[in-house]
Amino acid sequence: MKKIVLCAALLSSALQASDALAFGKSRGQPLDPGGEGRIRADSAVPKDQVNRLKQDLVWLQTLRSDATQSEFLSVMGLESSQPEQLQSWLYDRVHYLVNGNFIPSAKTVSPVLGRNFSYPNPGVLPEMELPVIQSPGHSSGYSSGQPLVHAEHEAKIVMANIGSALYLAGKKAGVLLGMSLDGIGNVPLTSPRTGVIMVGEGLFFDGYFGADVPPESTVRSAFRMETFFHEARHSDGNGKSLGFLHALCPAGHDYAGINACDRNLNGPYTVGALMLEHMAANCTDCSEKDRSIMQVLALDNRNRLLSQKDGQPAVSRDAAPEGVFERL
Amino acid sequence: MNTRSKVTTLILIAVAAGIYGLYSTPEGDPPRGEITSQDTPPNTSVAATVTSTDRPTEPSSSPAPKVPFETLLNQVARDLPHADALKSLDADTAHHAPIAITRAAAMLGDVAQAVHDDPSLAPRAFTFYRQCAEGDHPNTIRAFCLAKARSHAADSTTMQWESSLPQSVRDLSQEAQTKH
Repeated sequence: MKKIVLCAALLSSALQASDALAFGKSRGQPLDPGGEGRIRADSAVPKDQVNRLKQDLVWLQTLRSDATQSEFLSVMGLESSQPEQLQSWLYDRVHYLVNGNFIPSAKTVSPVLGRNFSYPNPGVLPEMELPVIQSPGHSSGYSSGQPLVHAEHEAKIVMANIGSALYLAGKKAGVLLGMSLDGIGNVPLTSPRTGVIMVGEGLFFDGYFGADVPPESTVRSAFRMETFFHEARHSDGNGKSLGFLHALCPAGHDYAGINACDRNLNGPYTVGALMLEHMAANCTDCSEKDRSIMQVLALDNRNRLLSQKDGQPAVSRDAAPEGVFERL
Repeated sequence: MNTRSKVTTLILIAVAAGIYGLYSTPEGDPPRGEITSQDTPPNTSVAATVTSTDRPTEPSSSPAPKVPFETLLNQVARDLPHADALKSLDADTAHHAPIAITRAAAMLGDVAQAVHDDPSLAPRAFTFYRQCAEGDHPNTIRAFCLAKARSHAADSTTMQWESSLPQSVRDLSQEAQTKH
């Protein structure tokens, strides 16, 4: 009898969660060029940012597909690099955008189902490499003996896959969490593929590349798309590979002591590098300067790929997404 | 610890481990020495249009001032970030290409564009790229410059100097060679 009551309660909560998901899908600002709402921004995301990202997705459609690396297709799991395929890849992993000022709180994030919710791969969690805590004055855990470069600047968020982080947090706590999104409603985080991405002013920051590379320039579109695809990769993985967490960069590395590297062959930085290389090779309206910038940025991504872990060569991780959709 | 506190703690851990790229960029310009110098106002185009010092050029439709190639190279060489510029970043600013790298990319893009527009500048560019590859810059910058130097090298003997570069720089530059 207890089991029946429990099942009924779970089913009821699950139906509410599903309703919320369906409800969420029907509202908000559509981002995809076709207006189908496969990605929706909550009402707190400024319209100019939504419009800029929409234009970026339109620009993505102008890419050729004749100069495509086999590595690009295999890592992305694509049959071709047609722009529609690239967009679909993104739409599978990103469904909601929230404002960069979104703060997880009791008001915005709350349990959908009670404690001891049963997640897939119970007890199997990704390894988190945490930076060593240093003395005050070093926020990154890296002791360089220099003052903090950005201490006097207010940081602006560029982009963040908050849905994946909250899914992991919910899994560790044994509760199914939901997010309350402005103008959309409650969205249960039943999978990292729920795809909730924070987008902030930093993505559109005027001075990112200097004054002669303004936010509306082609290469800025490429940069935003690379960032978007990087974040989308955080929606993949299961068990140990859940969320494709970043690794600590080793001593001697440009980003030593910071979680800004990957110990695999198919994580977010690989996706970022491949996207930049693909865009540079297939762009129809890029100058030599644009391609050159993309090449440098691609190298910055490749520089973060650690070839070994504990003496073993890095390998590709299982990108299949974890989720509880089918069980709800 | 109640469930909500537990969840909050776990979110913080997840953030610390970089599960979601909490990319951020500084508001305003980087401090002096990272990219800009006392002589170059931040956010100022180094060269939208470049001219060679010793040859007449076509009129430009760009409103940006023309800068002699030698001047451009000097400015870029002076303003490229030192390796130390990345050492003091925090996890947020380093999660994606930090501003030191993006602005360096734009400056190096000016050089590449100039050589593309006037291939006769390639020999001088080769010398610049060699100095850049050998300089105290982040590996990303050095590797890019090494790849560019290779592409402008007259023959393999002019690249013998690259054997003295760190293996990590040479390996990374190979990525640039093979991918582009």
